[in-house]
Amino acid sequence: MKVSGVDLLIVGSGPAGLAAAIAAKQSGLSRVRVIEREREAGGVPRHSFHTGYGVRDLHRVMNGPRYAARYISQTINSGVQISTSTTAIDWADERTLALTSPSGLEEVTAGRIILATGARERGRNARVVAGTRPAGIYTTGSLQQSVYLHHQEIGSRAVIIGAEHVSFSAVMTLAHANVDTVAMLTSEAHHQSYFPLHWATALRYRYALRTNTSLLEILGRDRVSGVRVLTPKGEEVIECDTVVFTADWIPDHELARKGGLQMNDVTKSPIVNHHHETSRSGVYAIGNLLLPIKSADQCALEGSSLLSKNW
Amino acid sequence: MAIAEHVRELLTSSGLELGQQSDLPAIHLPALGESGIRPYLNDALISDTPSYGEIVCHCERVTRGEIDAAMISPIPPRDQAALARRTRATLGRCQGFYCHAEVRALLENAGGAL
Ligand SMILES: Cc1cc2nc3c(=O)[nH]c(=O)nc-3n(C[C@H](O)[C@H](O)[C@H](O)COP(=O)(O)OP(=O)(O)OC[C@H]3O[C@@H](n4cnc5c(N)ncnc54)[C@H](O)[C@@H]3O)c2cc1C
Repeated sequence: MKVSGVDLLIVGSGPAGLAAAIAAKQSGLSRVRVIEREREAGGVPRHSFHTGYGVRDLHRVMNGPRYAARYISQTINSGVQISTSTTAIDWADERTLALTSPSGLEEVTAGRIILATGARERGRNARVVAGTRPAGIYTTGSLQQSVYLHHQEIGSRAVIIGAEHVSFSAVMTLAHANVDTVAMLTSEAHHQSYFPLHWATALRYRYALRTNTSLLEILGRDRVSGVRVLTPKGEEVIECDTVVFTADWIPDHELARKGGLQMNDVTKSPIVNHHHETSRSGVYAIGNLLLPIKSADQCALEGSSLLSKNW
Repeated sequence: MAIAEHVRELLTSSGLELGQQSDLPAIHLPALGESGIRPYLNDALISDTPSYGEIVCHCERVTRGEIDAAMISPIPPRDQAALARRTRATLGRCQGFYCHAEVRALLENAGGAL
């Protein structure tokens, strides 16, 4: 096993982690290392090919991969080491993380550690949805990776569960894969996104927004054949071969919990003070790991302001 | 085993000569769970085959090495549900939010289907 040391170790190379790494270098820290468990750095924007990134931090709008690429090159240019395909699997002690990568096991001791491990959408199981277990069920995150990173076959008719910002991202991703969105369901009385975003997508992609409608059951044997829903007028079956569960975020907090950091029971995030420091001194949490979901630019600003505040 | 005995009786009673009994080749299915040292924690295994250090399913910590091994085993899984039962890939907390597409790609490249 390898043993090493750095001034600052950042777990997660999404917008929050990379922005923090750049700021750390600017503030004069010399040995800064970012680790990322995926093969490519960038976090969620890496597979989010639609536009809508960068407004508050870079003052322009661009798509996810371009946004990620800007942060990655700025990080590398500022002299930060990014280790991809490298997972922080556990804590060896208060300020030491155990890593696994194709080059073996390693323990890194750091002066400070920033957790920027992001958040994910709850899937079908976590939402306890009744019905069969056929193929054709996604979250927006898994759908985007299938469509944009792997160009996989999806289907032809999709129903989207949820009507938040990310649900419109699902509509655009499905359209890119030539899948018609037949309906977007929300059990609330309205969608929960920006009105212009809904109007524009609904006009362009022609799906029905079904409010006050909840999902009762998934149908189909090997492949999804439809969903049974409860509408204000009663039960109904919508035929489809694809179901996308959107939003309903939960922080990816495994490492924080393993470290025994104090957690907030409601948000499932580590509890932090106004310097973003967790219950363990020298260990910080930023980005969507804290109170999901924020937009990427908000996460990046959180990352870059962390260092100017108190270091 | 009981079914095998029954089939043997049926075959012999139908007049078939069974010949010499021979040993079957051993099939080793990977150990699931935490009974032994998991590949992602096995430095010697990773230095021999680096893909055992490449975690694909992050929640269940299933490596590309384990998925590759399952796909070229004597009885390879043919779809994602079978691969999941064999390796636990996609069956963790996130239920595929992070790894569904990657696991599907590994499966399809090795001749399986969704
Ligand atoms: C489908 C979708 C569409 C979106 N569209 C927009 C949009 O249009 N505009 C916008 O502003 N925002 C959008 N967002 C939100 C935005 O992408 C997120 O807010 C942002 O990516 C969060 O940044 P982060 O750095 O906190 O986490 P993430 O981007 O999630 O990055 C976390 C990283 O940490 C890594 N990691 C986790 N655990 C470990 C570990 N133990 N070891 C090593 N690495 C680890 C993960 O692999 C991941 O790469 C969208 C999100 C989704 C899911």
